[in-house]
Amino acid sequence: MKKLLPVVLAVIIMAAGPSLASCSCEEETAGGTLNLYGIDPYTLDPALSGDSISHQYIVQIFSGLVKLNHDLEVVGDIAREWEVSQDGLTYTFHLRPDVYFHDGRPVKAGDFKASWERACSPATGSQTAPLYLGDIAGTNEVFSGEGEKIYGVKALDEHTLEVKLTEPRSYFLYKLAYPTAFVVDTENATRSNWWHADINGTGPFTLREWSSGSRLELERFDDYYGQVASLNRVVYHLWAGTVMDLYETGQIDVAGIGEGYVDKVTDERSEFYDELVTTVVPSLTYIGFNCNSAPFNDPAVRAAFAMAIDMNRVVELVYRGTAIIARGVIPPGIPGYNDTIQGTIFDPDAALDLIAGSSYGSVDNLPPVTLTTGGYGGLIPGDLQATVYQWKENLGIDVTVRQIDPNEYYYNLMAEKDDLFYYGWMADYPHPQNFLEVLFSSGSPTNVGEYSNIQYDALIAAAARELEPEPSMELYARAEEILLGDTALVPVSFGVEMILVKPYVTGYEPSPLGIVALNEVRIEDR
Amino acid sequence: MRVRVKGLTVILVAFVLALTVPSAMPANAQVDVETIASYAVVEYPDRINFTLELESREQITDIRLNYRVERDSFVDVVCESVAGYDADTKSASWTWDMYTTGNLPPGTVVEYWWKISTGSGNYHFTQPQKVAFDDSRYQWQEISEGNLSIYWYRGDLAFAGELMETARVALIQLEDDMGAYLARPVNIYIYGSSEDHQGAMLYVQEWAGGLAFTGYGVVAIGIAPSNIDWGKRAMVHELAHLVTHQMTNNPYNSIPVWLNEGISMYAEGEMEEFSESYLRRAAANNDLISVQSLASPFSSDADITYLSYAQSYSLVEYLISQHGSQKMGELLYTFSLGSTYDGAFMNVFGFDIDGLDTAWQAWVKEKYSASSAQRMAALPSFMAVLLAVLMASSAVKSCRKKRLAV
Repeated sequence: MKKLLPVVLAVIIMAAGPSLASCSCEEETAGGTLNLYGIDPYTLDPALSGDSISHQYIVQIFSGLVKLNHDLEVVGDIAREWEVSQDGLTYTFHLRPDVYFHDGRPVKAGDFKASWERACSPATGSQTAPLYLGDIAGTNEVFSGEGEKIYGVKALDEHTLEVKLTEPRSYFLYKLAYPTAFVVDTENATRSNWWHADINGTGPFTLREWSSGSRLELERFDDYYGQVASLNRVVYHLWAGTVMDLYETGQIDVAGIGEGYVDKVTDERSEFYDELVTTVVPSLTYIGFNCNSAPFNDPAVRAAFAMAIDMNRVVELVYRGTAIIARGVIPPGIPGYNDTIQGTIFDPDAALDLIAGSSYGSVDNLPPVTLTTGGYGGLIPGDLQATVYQWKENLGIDVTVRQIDPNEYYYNLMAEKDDLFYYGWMADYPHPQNFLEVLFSSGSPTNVGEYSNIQYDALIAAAARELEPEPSMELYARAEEILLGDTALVPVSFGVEMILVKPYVTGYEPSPLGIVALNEVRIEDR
Repeated sequence: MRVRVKGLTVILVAFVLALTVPSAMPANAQVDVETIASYAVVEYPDRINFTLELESREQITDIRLNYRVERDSFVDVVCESVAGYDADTKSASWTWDMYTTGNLPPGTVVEYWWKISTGSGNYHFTQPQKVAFDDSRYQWQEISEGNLSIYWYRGDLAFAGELMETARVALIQLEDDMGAYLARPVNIYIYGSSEDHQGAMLYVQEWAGGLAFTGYGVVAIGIAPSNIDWGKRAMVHELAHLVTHQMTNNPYNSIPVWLNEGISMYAEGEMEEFSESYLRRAAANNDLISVQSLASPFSSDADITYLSYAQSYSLVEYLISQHGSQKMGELLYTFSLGSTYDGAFMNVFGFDIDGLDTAWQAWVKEKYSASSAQRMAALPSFMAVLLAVLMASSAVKSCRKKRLAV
């Protein structure tokens, strides 16, 4: 689960005009300091993190059994190798013997078992554990509080971990690359607010300082088992000003680009053009329906709201090339992406006819409609503004937007949602299950809209059990077709990430999932 | 024209409002929750602290602050934040940290109310209150005329009156030129210096002396009484932004930055000499910034920005002089409907942004022929350096207090 921040937070800072007050470039030392812009993470506890902002810090400080390489293949991390039983139910991981926590204590197989039991414990309150560890035998008993130990996980010796699943899952290894499955020092993690002040991780960087609203600093961990970082430090300047101005004045080395600056950075005559890195990222932005209550428990009303939006116009005018219009659910780069999907056709008259034929009979009979989004201060993303405007223009319906705090939005949207919600999802691993099952299957804790269709659920379950890729993908394709036919959502856009990277920075290469391995980054002579 | 002193702090205002509203109006009359006090304290420009004090015989399970900012918007947005509740003090509070959003302009009104949930599943809403995000660090005076209000604290009434007259005339001129008058009231805050203005904004480039908050009908400028000539130009510039915004506002996108700034520069009157010198030099040296790049916010580098402003003026001058002001009106109207940049120009002028770049560059290079630059280049090197230094210092002096619209 990697929920995306509604882009307005970043956009506000980029558009509000500039400032540079408190950010000064860090002095150079042997390996150099990488200066980045950032905002405060919501958590640095891997068991809790479910948002893309927190993840970017956590993956530098912690690590797990496996990780995804730049080709999105699962490769060993703390696990040097593993075997899978023929029935696909038992995984045996062999851990590297040279892995240490930042305090020098060696990592053992039992640390993973303890970390996962902690993550699944109701006392921890993880929303991500059921999704990412829930395939392991015995986790349900821990989730429910019936037990404290996950019987499906055994430390066979100090460096061998056996994991048993309840059913075979073709994507199980991908899930272990997610922060919820990372190893933590469970003794360290019992301290109050430990992740804010005193983190003992295993990643390539230690947390040196976190001053909320000001600065987050990472320091190289010299005893890291993998590629030891070249950088001495990474300094995130939190809320330090307008990103582009910080970049132009050399106070940060990398800058994310929003649509406001797209003309400048894509101009071949611009000084920034050669520093631009553009990546299509597997993310989906969509409008979700609360399918479980009126008026959107009526499929005709859902279809009408989808049909009343000229999404081509919205995406073209608002995003200005920084996103791709989404017609389906699975984004480019994820197996199963289907570029032949036509999507909903914009037809306001047909939309009104649909409402007339719905259980409401007329727009006048619809109850008030509220949409939930995240952020502060009442400024909302441009695509959302344009969408709500079109509902007014084309259906005559005033939709009120309720903007809730980002942390509530990230971690409590299921309870907080109104009739509609604006949502973003970045892939955690390259598998259609990460979208179709996680976001829309009955009972999934991240099925915010509570969409439910027996036929859909059956196809998703069958696809998950199917270990052969081709038939599995066919099942997912049929499921996506049902989902779109039921108008369980209004797809808005797939992601495009634009960043500027200073020429003296090498190795700053976001993976297709948007994660940068900062231990691979180097600062050359400026 | 009326004059009054606006010296009360927002703290006082907020308390007064709190005392005059009745206690919480329960959604369920059987539930006993009473508001003791509800108030908001502004610490301009950094934050607003909202506080609720209450009495309840029921267990409080959740308290939310709801608020809505008064500004132009295509969408009704109600914000909701979870307030920390302290059972010992029976109070809840929430702080709007403006660093997370950029600060509201001075005087912006925020309407707010509380939602209180209790253990029995009932909830209450308090009566809506309003707090103004006033910059109470200064003793503001106000003069008003029609929809126009000027707030200032340095200089005498004649100073403010001169600015008011400039603003009034500018709006008449803008109405004549652009066929638009401002539909909403405009509040102009005159800070007493560039430094005061800079200190009133969280995110502002150091060379910016004026800001137009277009969705709010607010202009904030730093004008020392000794610098009123510059100030009058700056005020016209910022007012033009408000007019342009009103003419082009649409739910999809903004017009190119150069067009917005160029119209405001053009409204000021003839281009100032220091600006023209940047343009002349860039034209002669083939260092003009592309029109495409100028569609984005200008650089943090002051020299590049001065050139950007000069080019913006020149582009608007080119469009009006070569294609007529009617076409300019059509262009703004096209943008108001929602259009891509290329689409709008193609529709109105028959060329896209690159086409404009080509045509305008030829025009501007012809206008600023190489001769003047050659004359400059022929100066003795000492003189050239001296001239550059003088020009740069002059430009910095002026432009540190100069314009940028949000």
